[in-house]
Amino acid sequence: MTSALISIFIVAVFIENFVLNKILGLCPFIGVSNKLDSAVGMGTAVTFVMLMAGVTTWAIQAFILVPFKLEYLQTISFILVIAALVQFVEMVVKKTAPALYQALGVFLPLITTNCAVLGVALLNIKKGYGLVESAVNSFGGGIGFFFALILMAGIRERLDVSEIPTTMKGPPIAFITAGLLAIAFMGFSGLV
Amino acid sequence: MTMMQQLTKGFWKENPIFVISLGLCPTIAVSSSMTNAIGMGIAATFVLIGSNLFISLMRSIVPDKIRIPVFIVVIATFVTIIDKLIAAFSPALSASLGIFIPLIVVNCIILGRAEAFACKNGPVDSILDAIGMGTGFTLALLLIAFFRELLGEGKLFGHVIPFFSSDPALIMIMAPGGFIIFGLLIALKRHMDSKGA
Amino acid sequence: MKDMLKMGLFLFVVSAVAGVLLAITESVTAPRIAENQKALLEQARKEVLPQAAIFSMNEFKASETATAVSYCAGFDQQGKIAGMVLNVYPKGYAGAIEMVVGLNPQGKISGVKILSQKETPGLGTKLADPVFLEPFKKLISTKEQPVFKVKQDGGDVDAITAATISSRAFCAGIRNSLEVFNQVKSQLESLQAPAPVSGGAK
Repeated sequence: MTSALISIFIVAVFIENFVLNKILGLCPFIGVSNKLDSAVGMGTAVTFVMLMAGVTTWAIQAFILVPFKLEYLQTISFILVIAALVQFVEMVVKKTAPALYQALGVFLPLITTNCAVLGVALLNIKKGYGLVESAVNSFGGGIGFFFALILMAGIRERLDVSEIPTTMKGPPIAFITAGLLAIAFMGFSGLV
Repeated sequence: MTMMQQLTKGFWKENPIFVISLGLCPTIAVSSSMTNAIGMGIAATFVLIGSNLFISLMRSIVPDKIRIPVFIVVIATFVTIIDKLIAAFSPALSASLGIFIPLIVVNCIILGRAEAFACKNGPVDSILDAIGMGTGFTLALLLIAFFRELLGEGKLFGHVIPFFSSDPALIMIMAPGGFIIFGLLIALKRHMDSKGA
Repeated sequence: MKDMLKMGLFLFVVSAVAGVLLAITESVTAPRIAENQKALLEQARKEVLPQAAIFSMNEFKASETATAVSYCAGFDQQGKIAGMVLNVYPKGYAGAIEMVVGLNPQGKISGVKILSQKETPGLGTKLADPVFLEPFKKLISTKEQPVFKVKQDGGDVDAITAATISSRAFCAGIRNSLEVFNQVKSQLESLQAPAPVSGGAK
């Protein structure tokens, strides 16, 4: 049981990295990766929301959609739950941990449209995971996103001080860097 | 702006992918073959037309504070409809696009157009805008898919192309190839724009 | 407060309309989707066990405590047992490979098909290509008792160059299905063909 969970986690973080292998969550990956601090903030916020969303949507699927044969409402209910969840997290963090809110606040509203969050919810159901497996997979996916984001941010801080042809500056070179990172991550396949 | 301009602005000048950089995930994820690119493009355009039309019709009665949830419900409804239709009538396409069909919900192009255009303009303009943006999205996908399928598999729409098929660079149809081709294409677009200006 | 109520009501109405629309879509498409899936499965079964005309799902338990394994038995036009079809999921290089294996009543492989896989494109994915499958078919038709292991491991199967792990997984899938076959062999003979009216014969 434990080894199966560890393997799900490793697969989610390295082999099927959400950004570099599954190509989910690119908007924040490119948009927020130019500074290391904001990358850390965004990565933390996404990991947190992904874990919460993975567990909540699993519960909705198992206790509401399946018993009442409403599977066709999956997409619509998941996205509404994620939107509500993000709002809720924002409110709670604001009330209970103002310092954390200062750090994460600006990123939270952006997470609703991060496809990694809805993606992990749909994938958990598609793979037939149970509650614990869903939680581990969602958390692993978040950590994978976090890793990819800070790796990218570190590289882009270096890119800022290097000489790059004008047309390649910004997004173009960022995408090519992401491509090279993705090649590096392909080396992880076959790990489990 | 004339109706023609309303329609064609999305093709190149305000192309959602290359200029506004919205909806990147499906762009790179499903552009490994031309067939997938067309399928995704049509699905997204259908959702865009539906959501733009309805949101534009409802724009005066939607309370401002809850407009985003309302938009999301409208978009998710159209996404589910197209998802089911594709699964029913084209199971092969449904299998190859996978979760990227439901993920159209969070494609920023759709919500972006609802927020930036449809809730401020009439239904006719909104439909034109949707068709234009949808076509622009499809064209961008096709352009990326053209290079990826040709270089990565030596094929176009699944048909073998001589010369390219002898020893294709497989990396191009995998995730890294998507990133690299896309990076090069936006660089090219910028280069062309800077020449024109 | 009145505002809140109005907004809540509005959102409720929108969601209700959306729900009704989706329910209609579902009722139109659901039967077709189910049929598509069934047709896909049926087609794969026919492909790997061409001599069978009707299939029926069966379950067996190796012992009281063992979990039930379901398998699919095929019958020919006369209702005689024509073999069985098994779904196996060996672990490949990048996740499980979903394959169907058809076996005739003597336990000889009549066909193999890869349904889904996540192997490396261009290398492991060749499992589904004639490059790999044709020599494999030749092996099972010519050799009496082939050893389903790759040659590096002392077997008879030619592995795909640069995709030994995928080839090993393929062999493991074949061995796995033979194992199940040997366990159900005795039950297989006594199976009755489903009546053509109620069985999904087309």
